[in-house]
Amino acid sequence: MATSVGRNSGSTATPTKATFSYWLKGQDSGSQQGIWGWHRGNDASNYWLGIYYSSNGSMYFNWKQSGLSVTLGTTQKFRDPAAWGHHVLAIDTTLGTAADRVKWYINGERVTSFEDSLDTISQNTTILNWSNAQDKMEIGTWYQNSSAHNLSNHSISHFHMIDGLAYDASAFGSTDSTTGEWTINTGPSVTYGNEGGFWFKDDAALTDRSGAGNNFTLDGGTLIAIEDCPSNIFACWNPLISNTGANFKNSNYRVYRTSAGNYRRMGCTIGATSGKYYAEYFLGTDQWGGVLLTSGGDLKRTEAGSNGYMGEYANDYSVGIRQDGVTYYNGANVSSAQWNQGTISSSDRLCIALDMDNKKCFLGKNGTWSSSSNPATNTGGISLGGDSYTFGAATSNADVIINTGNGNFANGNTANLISSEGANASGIGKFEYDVPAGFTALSTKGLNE
Amino acid sequence: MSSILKVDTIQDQNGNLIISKDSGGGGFEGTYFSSSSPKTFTVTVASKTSASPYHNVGSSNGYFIDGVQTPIIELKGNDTGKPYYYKFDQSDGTNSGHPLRFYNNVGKTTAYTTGVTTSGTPGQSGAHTTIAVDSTTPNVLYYQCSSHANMGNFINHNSTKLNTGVFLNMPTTDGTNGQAMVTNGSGVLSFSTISETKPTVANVSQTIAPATGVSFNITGTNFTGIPRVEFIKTDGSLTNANTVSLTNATTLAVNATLALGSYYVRVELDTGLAARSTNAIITASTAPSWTTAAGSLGTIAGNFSGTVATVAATSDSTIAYSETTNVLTNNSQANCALNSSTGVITTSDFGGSSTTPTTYTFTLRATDAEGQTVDRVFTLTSSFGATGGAEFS
Repeated sequence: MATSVGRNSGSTATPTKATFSYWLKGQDSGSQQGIWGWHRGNDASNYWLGIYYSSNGSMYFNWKQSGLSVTLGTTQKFRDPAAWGHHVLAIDTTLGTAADRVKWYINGERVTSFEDSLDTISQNTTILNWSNAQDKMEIGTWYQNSSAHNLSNHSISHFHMIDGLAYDASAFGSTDSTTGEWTINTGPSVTYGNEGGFWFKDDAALTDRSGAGNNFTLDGGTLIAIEDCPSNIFACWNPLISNTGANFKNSNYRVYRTSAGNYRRMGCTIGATSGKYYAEYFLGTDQWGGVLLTSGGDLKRTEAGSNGYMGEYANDYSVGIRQDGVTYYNGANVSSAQWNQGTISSSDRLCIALDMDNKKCFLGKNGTWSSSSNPATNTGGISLGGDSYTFGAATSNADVIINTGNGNFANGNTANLISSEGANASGIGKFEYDVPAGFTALSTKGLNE
Repeated sequence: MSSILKVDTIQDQNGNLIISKDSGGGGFEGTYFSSSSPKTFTVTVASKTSASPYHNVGSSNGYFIDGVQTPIIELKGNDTGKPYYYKFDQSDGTNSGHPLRFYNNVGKTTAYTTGVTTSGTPGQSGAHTTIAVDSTTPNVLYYQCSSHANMGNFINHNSTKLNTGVFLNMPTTDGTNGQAMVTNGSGVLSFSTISETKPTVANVSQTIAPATGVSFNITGTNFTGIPRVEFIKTDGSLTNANTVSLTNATTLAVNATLALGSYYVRVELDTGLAARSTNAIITASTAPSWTTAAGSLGTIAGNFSGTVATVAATSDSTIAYSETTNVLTNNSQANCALNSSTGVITTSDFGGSSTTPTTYTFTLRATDAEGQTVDRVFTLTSSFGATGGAEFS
């Protein structure tokens, strides 16, 4: 069931200005997906306002109310699975220049290229879309006429709605003077207005953090708390790696295929040449976890359409461990030397410590390191022959879910949040078991530790 | 004193007869020559002979004093309250047309009349010229006929009033060390400190823009007229002020165009009196200016450690950076350090213990080697990133 939250309007305000600001992670799915919107329950064919993905990957603003029907569609496509993007939609119908009456900012820059340009909005048009008790704001879905267009496999953080004022992007973010990146302002100085609010401030709570009390209720699905956020992006499976038949769910932390016995490898969105990183896996039956080169090797084979599991081939320098404990490295079965933990059941978690400073991979289960290895002391483990690695998976017909610090092993609407957070001296990410001393999450912050 | 030669006349080494009165009894004036009982010289007139120093000079006649031809006469008297009176009796008929008077020189440029009284008509009974002699009577006076030249000679008097052609009264009291003798213009001399009213230039340092006409004030003392003002560069080169005007005795308003450098100031008055500052008080230097734009220096992650930003200013001399507020380098606020030489702002924990986004507003100052300053307001904003969100599965 698609996840969405909603709340009905509690006022009759008809402002001429409004602002929506939020951070969104996900990619177009090739079909129409609503992100957020207002619609009028008892007049759904005449009142809606919101943003959705079109089936071509563009993003659209669509606003309909009595006497007005406006569409604005971006030229740009949204196909980066790893990035959080900041979207600001500012409506100000009082402006003299018609084209300025809806401004759309993405990552701090105003969007000026549209495949569907802004339809005419008469000056001083009032917004009627939250003036009626039947008007409902929803996040995770958007209604056009009476049809809901749901969002899936996306994450949202720091969603602001401003009722009555138009702000530009600089109210909600700024450019980092060192990196040049657009970064979040977690405490914007804004006035929210009657229907405004501030939701998903660092969590999945339905509470309005603006103080206006405009809390949401869960209308369907499961809202899953994540550590992944605009300020710290955790490695997840990378859908841009060509892997025919792979399905990516739960913000790409879950991957599966439906071809029994035909394994194909998958890598994460972040790799490393140095540092020490820790990850935990849920392995479906006969599925594989491990580490692999960020380029060439197993991933090259996968992109070439070749089946196989990690560690199967010499000179690919991959480590693969199957759910039943069979372990391979670089074309050789190293099970007897590297794995003494038996089968990894659905309630178990595979633990992998990737030490790129010492070029080693350590395997464990439920916090116990296998075969007397100890990543914290660089004892034992598998020496790696390559220089740049990431966490990997090989899937055939079941799930491989990775927790690189995102704090859950979500599977569809089942959150599978970590039940008892392990010790983590780095403070980056949440894991079920203790993070070995000196190791951290494979994330943008973890890379800079 | 019997051992002292007692004479009434004697010749000097030039053969001149000197008449002095030895009243006997030991070489001192034994009798007071009061006004009522003066010492009387009998004056007659006769042709001069070679015994007179003025023989064949001026008149052919000469005075004979008590029968001695044109003698040198020594007079005495010192107490101004008790002058001694010497009476030159011209009752003798040979004096007719030859009034005896006293002068400052042989040429009779200036008559000396102080204490001098005349009576009657020379050549007639009772005619005389009398002089009262005291300490103010010149040491030398020339007795001459007021009508004819070179009939007399001179008299000596041991006096503090000198006749050098002009009559000069010597001081009656000593001066202080280093004082000099000055005249009042009437022959009265005294000791006095000799001083000039020179100007002074105060050592008030100023910095002006170089290579452009700049108006500023020079302060000091004793400024008068329209002084000449020169700027003496430390390399010795001179630059004159463009314009100078006297504001008052302690202030000159000048306009000068000076090249880069440091300058002494020399002020010369119309009188020629001049003064120079003891230090190079004028510095021509370009003021520093910021090259880093005012305002935000960026948004920095809370707890960031490292280089935050670098500010820069330019000048024609070394610049030092400092903070005039107490925000940037305050451990309880931005918790940064500012390198005074490089303008690099660093931190080991940006924002210190703060955990909320904060904009720190502070003022930095650039100071050049000449002490010129320029301030600019900057901001740094701390950011504390998101820590999570919601997944719509």
